[in-house]
Amino acid sequence: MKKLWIPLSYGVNDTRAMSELFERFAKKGWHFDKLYGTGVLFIKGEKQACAYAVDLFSLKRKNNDDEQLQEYYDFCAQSGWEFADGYDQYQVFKAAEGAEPIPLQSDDEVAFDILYQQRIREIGHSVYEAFSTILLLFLAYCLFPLDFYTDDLFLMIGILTPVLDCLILLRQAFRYVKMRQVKKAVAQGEPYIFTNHLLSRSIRDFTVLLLCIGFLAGYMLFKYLRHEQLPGTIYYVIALVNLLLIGRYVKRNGGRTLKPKTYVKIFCISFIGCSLLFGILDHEFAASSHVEPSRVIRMTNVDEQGKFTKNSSYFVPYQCQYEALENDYQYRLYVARDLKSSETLFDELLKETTRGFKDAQSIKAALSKLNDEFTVSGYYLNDEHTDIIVHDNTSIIIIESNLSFDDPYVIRQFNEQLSKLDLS
Amino acid sequence: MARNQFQTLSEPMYYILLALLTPCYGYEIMQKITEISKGRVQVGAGTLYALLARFENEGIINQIADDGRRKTYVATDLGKELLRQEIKRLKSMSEEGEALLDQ
Repeated sequence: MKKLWIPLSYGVNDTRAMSELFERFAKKGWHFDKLYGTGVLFIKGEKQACAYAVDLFSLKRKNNDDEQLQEYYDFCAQSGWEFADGYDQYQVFKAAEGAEPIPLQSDDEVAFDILYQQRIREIGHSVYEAFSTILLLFLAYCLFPLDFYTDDLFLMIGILTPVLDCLILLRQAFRYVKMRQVKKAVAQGEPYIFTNHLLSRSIRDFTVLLLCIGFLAGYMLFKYLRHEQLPGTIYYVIALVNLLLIGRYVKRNGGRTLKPKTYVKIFCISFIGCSLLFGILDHEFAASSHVEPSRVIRMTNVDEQGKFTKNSSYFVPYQCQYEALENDYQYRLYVARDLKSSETLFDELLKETTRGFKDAQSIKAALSKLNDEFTVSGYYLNDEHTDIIVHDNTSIIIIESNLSFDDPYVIRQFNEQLSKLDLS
Repeated sequence: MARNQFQTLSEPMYYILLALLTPCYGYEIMQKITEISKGRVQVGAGTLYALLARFENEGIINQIADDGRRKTYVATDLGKELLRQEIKRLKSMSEEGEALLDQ
């Protein structure tokens, strides 16, 4: 049996337009089968003129509302409308063969009243979600400040999401005020015009989805091209995106709100799936080692010019990558915004850098020969202006805590130390 | 004129309450309305379901039997009072209109 799935985004005042759409498809031989959060499934059949009605179930959905819903379906069936499928409050009915049923909503005022209740509920949900997201981000920031400092993706999400949430809250406030005005007008006898925003809504939602996927894909490509590892955040982000997509694309519990344990189950499966998938892909993105296992590292004083490449990321404004002779080893110099972020950045970079080396032992051995001044266990701040940080002889990362990055000074100091090494 | 909740009744509200002067269940109400109005008024299932829920919430009707999926309702004293007020209002409207037309 041929099936056709089309993406469709709909709102509470699009129910009449949806009925018309299903009728048009039926005339072309595609009969409505299932309604999803963001699409409709049609099945190929005979070309027929069928009447469809999409109605909003007027009561608030609960997990134990089977009886109420069944009673409502019975009402509709007795008046000639057979239940076809439903999603959330949206219920699709098909006229029984040979029957000429009266419209499900025979009174526009009642129809508007149901629509109004649903819209207010939607606004409430949206406000609740926006506040929850802001609260979750705040908690995440308090619990994992490191990730916020060191991860562009996390920072972008941490900044963009509250901004978007505020815009959503503002929009919902306008919608609420507008709906109140419309309600007043309808109560005064003005007709309410049921709109058709199916196409524009679908295009908008599809574009947003593409932008989100494009953003993530672009970010991964960017990391790949720079031979950088994907941050741990990516797992969470993709698992969360999956969860949202699953929530919208998968048929939900007969249209009811998902139970919390189902949400947790979906999230866990999604998260484990993502971790496995990216665990495999991670090799592609991991920073490759510049040190061959049996290679002896030779470091001498090097010419500053041409040995440093400078980059900038949006949130780490100035990055400088130092390459030792023959590209044997890479040191990174970062400008952090303040001392605290330089420390947190250092921790994160240390983890990342040591992970990138296959031959960490030789690096350790090499660096242990550095001046005592630099081999203090833990962090060491060199002078007032520049932080040269050494940690347990594992690796060296230079982070300057003020924004006036004076690279010749830092680099000279660093090179002086390096030049003292005799690793041959 | 602005209509506050149940201060005046819309046509479907009026006929549903009329039908519920005697106990009825869902589909029976729809049939009864068609019968009372001699086919002039038909109330859709969605409209009926939503109004029954609202009426029940406001104490205008009562559920007197619940036979699984079939619930039977009847108008309460408040519901009957609302009907009386509506009939009075409609009568006075009708008289005022007739008086003006007869002049």
